[in-house]
Amino acid sequence: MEEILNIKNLVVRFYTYEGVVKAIEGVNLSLKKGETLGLVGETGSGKSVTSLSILALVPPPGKVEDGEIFFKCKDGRKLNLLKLGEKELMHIRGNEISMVFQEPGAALNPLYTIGEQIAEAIILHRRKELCRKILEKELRSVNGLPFKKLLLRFEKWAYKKLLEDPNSLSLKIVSKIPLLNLYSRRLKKYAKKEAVKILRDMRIADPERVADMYPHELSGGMKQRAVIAMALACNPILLIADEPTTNLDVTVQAQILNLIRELKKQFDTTVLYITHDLGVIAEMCNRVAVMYAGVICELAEVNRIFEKPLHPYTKALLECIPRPGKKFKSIKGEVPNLINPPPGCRFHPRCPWAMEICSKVTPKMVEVEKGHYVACHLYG
Amino acid sequence: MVLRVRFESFKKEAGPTIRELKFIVKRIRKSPLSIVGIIIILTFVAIAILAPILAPPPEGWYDPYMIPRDGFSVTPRPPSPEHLFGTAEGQYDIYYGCIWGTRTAFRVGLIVVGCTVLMGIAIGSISGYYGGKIDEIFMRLTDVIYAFPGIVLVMVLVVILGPSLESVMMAIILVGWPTYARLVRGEVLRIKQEDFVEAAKAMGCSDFRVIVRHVLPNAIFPLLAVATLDMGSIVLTVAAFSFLGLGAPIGYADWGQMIALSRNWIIGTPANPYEYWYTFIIPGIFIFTFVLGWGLLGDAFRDILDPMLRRR
Repeated sequence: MEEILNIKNLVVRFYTYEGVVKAIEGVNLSLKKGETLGLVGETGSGKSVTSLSILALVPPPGKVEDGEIFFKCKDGRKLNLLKLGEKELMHIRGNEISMVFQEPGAALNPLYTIGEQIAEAIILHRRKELCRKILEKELRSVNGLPFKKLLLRFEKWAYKKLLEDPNSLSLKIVSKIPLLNLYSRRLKKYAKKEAVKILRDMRIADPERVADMYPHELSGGMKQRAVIAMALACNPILLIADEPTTNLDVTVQAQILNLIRELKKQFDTTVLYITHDLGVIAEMCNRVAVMYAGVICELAEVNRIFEKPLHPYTKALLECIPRPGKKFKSIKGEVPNLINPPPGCRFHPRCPWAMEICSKVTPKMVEVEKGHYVACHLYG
Repeated sequence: MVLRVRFESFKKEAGPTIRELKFIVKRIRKSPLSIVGIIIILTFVAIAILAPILAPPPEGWYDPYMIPRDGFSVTPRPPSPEHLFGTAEGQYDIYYGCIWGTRTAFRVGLIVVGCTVLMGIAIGSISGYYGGKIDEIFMRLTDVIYAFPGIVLVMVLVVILGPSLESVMMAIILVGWPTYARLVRGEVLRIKQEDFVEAAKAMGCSDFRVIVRHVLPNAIFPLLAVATLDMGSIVLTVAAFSFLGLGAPIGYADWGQMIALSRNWIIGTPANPYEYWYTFIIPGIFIFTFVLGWGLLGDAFRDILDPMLRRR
């Protein structure tokens, strides 16, 4: 399996008034084409920051201090996402890597209809494809009344120009002149048609109607489908799902999870699934990375994690899953303050097996079995 | 047949927009006061448009905004069939002045509010969205302007620019934009935290696109409400400056200037203190209803705003 994403030694720090928050400290992670990798951890363990660094969208005062993120594009180039300029990044965001957010209601702009929002993503990244289609299908033959002929001929010119060189001066001028710039309506209409098509792929029963609705008119599950539709509109290679079902109720959650699984096959995307719900992980993922306080402490196939967890933190996490007839358990202590993280292994203050070395030396990732990595002194 | 198909497709395309418009109309209809406001403003719009018909300037008159005079006598004359609202000091026709003054009021209000709003939006959104040093510079600039009493600062600027209606407008714009800039900045600061902005960035939108398409449309509603209220109050301010003799020249069709003309006649005569009531009451009524109308319209905007808030 080829790797499409490779994060090497990622370090992210937030420079706040209280001090430097060491949010992510040397994360290594790679995603293989077609798999679903689960990223588990408590709140504040750096899952979301990891995903935002992949898009180079770490919000200030955060800063990527060190590391490399290699990404294999659609055209086969291998790029370091942290070294790219803003323009190239804009091309990659939404087109090659896209993201589904936790709160579906908040991720949609309340002022535009669902169709308009999906169409925006389509126009941003698939304009060329649409122009070609329009030229082939609608503007192939120019005939009709003289005035209409003139109009169509103008549109044909505009779309040809749009296809060849969207930044050309003449097009820029024309798009600023009222009435003349109406040519873009055809593009918008086409994009909206595509949007309806994608909504249908989301197993929405009545996509035409939903496309004309505003976010507040939809239920939570529907909104999340719309958000997923927006993310998949441009057929991305990598889909980052940041707790997409946390705020939905269980039945809807099951629907959405099924949907993501099916779409993954249909669109042939790789998924980075971020969650704190181990049940969802068991359901969805091929491999799991467990994160604690900005470090990955264990990485293995999903079955291995549940059958034979190695890292004390993973063990504790699995103990915490509530089951009937079992006493409720929690991990002792608190998530460390990341301004002054504990030295050595960051989990040692809470670890029942802590040794002397744990508070002094940061453990390295070791491969205990094939494909099962753990960062703990017990195994090194 | 073709037309019907066109109409159907148009109806389908505009469906969501029409639905929203219907909702807005329903909201407005629930509060009678905002209807009154809309009616008042529409009446004023009609007066302004129909001014050449309602009060035709005399043949060959050099500037329709200068009030024609009927003689040069100092004492005002009461309403008569010839001069519906009477004449002011120097025999300026009050009716003519009030009608053409509506145009002045709209011109002043629209230009001043338009410019302050545009400046406020541009500076406020850049400052709120990018933050950091740019924000610091602009916000300290607004602090400097805020540090002076507004009216005094406007007056100083008018004196520097030379007294005229244009310089009063310019001075009010220069002093007025910080209010809007702060308002927009606050809203932008709030909205840029929202997930949909992050989502737009993750979708590959440029900063410009994020601001114009996603942030500003959500930030603009409180601004609209304030701007409508300001439409009225700015006309009041300009009237005050005209009254002080810093704004429109004598004889110009401007409500404030007309009240300035009546300055010597407000007290009336010892026998009848209200003898010259028409010189200040009539232009005063025009100013009052104009300001009131915009105030009520501001309320209507707040009603329209409510469903937008409901959406969040």
